[in-house]
Amino acid sequence: MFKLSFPQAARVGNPSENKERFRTDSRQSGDKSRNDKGVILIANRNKSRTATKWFLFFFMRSISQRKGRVVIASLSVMLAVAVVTAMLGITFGIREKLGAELKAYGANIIVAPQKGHYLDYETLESISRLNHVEEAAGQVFGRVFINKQGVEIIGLEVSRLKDRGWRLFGNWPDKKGEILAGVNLKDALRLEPGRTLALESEGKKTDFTVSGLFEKGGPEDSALIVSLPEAWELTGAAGRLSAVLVRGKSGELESVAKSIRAAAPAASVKTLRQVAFAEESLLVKIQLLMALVTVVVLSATVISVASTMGANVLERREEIGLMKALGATRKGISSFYSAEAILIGLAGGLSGFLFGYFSAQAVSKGAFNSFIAAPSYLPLFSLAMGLAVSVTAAYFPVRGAMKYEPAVILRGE
Amino acid sequence: MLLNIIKKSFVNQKKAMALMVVSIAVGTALTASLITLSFEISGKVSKELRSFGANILVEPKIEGLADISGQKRYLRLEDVIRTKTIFWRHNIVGVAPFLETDAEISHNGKPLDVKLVGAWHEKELPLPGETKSFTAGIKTVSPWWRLSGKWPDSTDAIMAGSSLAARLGIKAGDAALLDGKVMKVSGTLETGGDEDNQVFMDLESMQEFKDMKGKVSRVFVSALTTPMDAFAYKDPGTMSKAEYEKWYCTGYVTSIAKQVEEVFKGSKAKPIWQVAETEGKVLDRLELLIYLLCFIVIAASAIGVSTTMIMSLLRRIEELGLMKAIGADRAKVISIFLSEGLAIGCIGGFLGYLLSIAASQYIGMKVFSAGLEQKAILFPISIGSAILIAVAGTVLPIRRALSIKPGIVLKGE
Repeated sequence: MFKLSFPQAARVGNPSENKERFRTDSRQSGDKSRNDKGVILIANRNKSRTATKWFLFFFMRSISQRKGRVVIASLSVMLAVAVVTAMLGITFGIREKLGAELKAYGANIIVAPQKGHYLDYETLESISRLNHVEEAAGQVFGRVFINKQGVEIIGLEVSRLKDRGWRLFGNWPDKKGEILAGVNLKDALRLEPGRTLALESEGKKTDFTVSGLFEKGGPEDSALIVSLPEAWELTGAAGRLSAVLVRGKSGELESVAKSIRAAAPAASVKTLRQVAFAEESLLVKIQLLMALVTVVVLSATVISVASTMGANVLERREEIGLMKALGATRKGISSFYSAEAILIGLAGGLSGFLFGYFSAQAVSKGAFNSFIAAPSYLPLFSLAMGLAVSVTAAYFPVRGAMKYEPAVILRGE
Repeated sequence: MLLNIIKKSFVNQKKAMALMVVSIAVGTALTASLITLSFEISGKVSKELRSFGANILVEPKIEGLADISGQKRYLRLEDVIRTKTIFWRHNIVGVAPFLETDAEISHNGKPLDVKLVGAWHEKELPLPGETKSFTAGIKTVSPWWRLSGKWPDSTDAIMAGSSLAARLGIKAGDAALLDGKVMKVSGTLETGGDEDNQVFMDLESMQEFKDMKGKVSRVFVSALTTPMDAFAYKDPGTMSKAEYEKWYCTGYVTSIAKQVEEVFKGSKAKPIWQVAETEGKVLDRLELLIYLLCFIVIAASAIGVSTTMIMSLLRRIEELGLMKAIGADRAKVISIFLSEGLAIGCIGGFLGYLLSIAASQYIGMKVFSAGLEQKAILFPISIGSAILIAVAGTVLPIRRALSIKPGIVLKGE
């Protein structure tokens, strides 16, 4: 229990002076002392100095004698702040993380030339320099003949296919003369990885080795995939592209499409709604889920903060009664408890931020194997929330305690 | 005697007891609804992920190079409904058959060669041997298609892709010539893909118009799947009988594709790998994310609730001091606190269980537009965890109570 002893107070004066000390907070009396003159000034300065000193003494004493309670109160503020901070951090980070997962989905913008025309290689280069363009790749479409039967070829940078989720039987091509064949050709030509294929185009025959077969689950499964230079050789149109596939940052698709239209005015630019649609609808659900869970968690932790702070104050009704009996004003008492609530709020908010931030990072590392970039205002938000929660939680019990008659409390009723 | 004390403490300290019960109830509700959620998150999220579009493509089997270079083979329309008869029929959430052929469209004397596509938008198919029907069509596999106007439903109505419509200068309500026949344009559609340059008709109407009765070029299937694991990537051809059985009866995208292939005469069914792969990855990640979050949230609320208990019980140290002074021994003190904890845990746990039913239904409806199934096992889990948390909250107060010296406490020092 808190032991009430006022060594200085006992020495310095009578109850009416004490009342004055409690009423004047240091800043106000400092201003006043500058305006007054002579003896009163010195007296006031002394008074204000003692008031501040007394306040601090009281405060420090209260904190150090009740360490356990202050720690528990800070802990519950910390929990509330930590959970909300972690949830917020993840909610903000998840868009980017999911976007990265959806990368395998491939391009979300397709730039195609007008019918019968081509795109230049320079167009590809200028597109890949645009803002929010994560990836831009050129493709060449053409037709070659195998045993007088036409087969589509697609020329592209084969290394870009590796994280696309395509299923590969055999190996990725790694040198000139190696190509990939779609699984449909396997059935049609009895192809196996390692076989040699003679492709006929522009009147000449070239031999290629099929390093692997791929299955995509689309029209490409009936085509051959060759490198860009080989495609140019086979089609006889060096430096020309049939399409540019762009992966723009999710959420910025429209602005990316707009700047591509400006960079390649002759081409048609299309955003693939499939990817954006899937991404958006998923994100909305997940964020809604997080928001709902956050609200429920917040209510659970706020109850705990309120009960802890409430118990803290109620326990000290006697103390409040004694203060009042000694002549403390409501303002004096409330500023004393506010200071305590602010200290708890700051401590809880700061530790809550650290704790919440690290949990968010741990969750992100666990689920997405990478860290998240939290918004820069997150620490400020956490501190503010800690303060708000702690001060609000302390407000009602203190207000309630003020109503008691000192005599009643001190008699122990 | 013990019962009397507990009864008295509930009656005399209504507020404090209510606070403890409420905080236990909220904590339990949170835990129970998160557990309910994590039971079902996999199914719910994989359903959401179906907005990525179809994940299985069924095409006519390729038997020779001629099939690739031009010769047309078809699937049978009557086989479409048989996808709902396979082993994993309940996992099939969408089926959309497409028939494709060349046609010529003209408007104001401008003829243009286009792809004419026959499809269903939203069609109820009677399930064989059941009274229920199954919805098939584009809407079930490609929810991102943006239609304006009405889907064509007769032999003289068409829908034009948005780019094509712009090129021809036609809009809904206009008339256009398709292969020389006057057709009413019932609307336009936009997907961002090749469809924007195609002409669409109702599937049966097109079969009649083009004299291709019962024929289908390809079928897209949307199925709920189990993410691929190392076992799933094994070649089914090299599996032992037991392994093959296990593979066939697990809902991998490959095994479902195999089963779909079996019901379509002369077909080859392939996973659409970009979709299947992305989906599996996203599902894994999100599941992990939700589990980690649940863990953090449950831990935080458990600590929060325990703090509330500690604070509330610490207020009654004086009471315990008095009890000790009039002869209560250690066992009595412990049993008083423990049985209070038990009582609070039981009541709070029960209320929390009820609350969690409401909470998980609300979250389920709000986020996934479908309630979550409340498992019976949650009842013992709720009560058990509530009692555990409540009893954990009594440990510190008990230790404090045991160590107090009645004289000091009662003197209030």
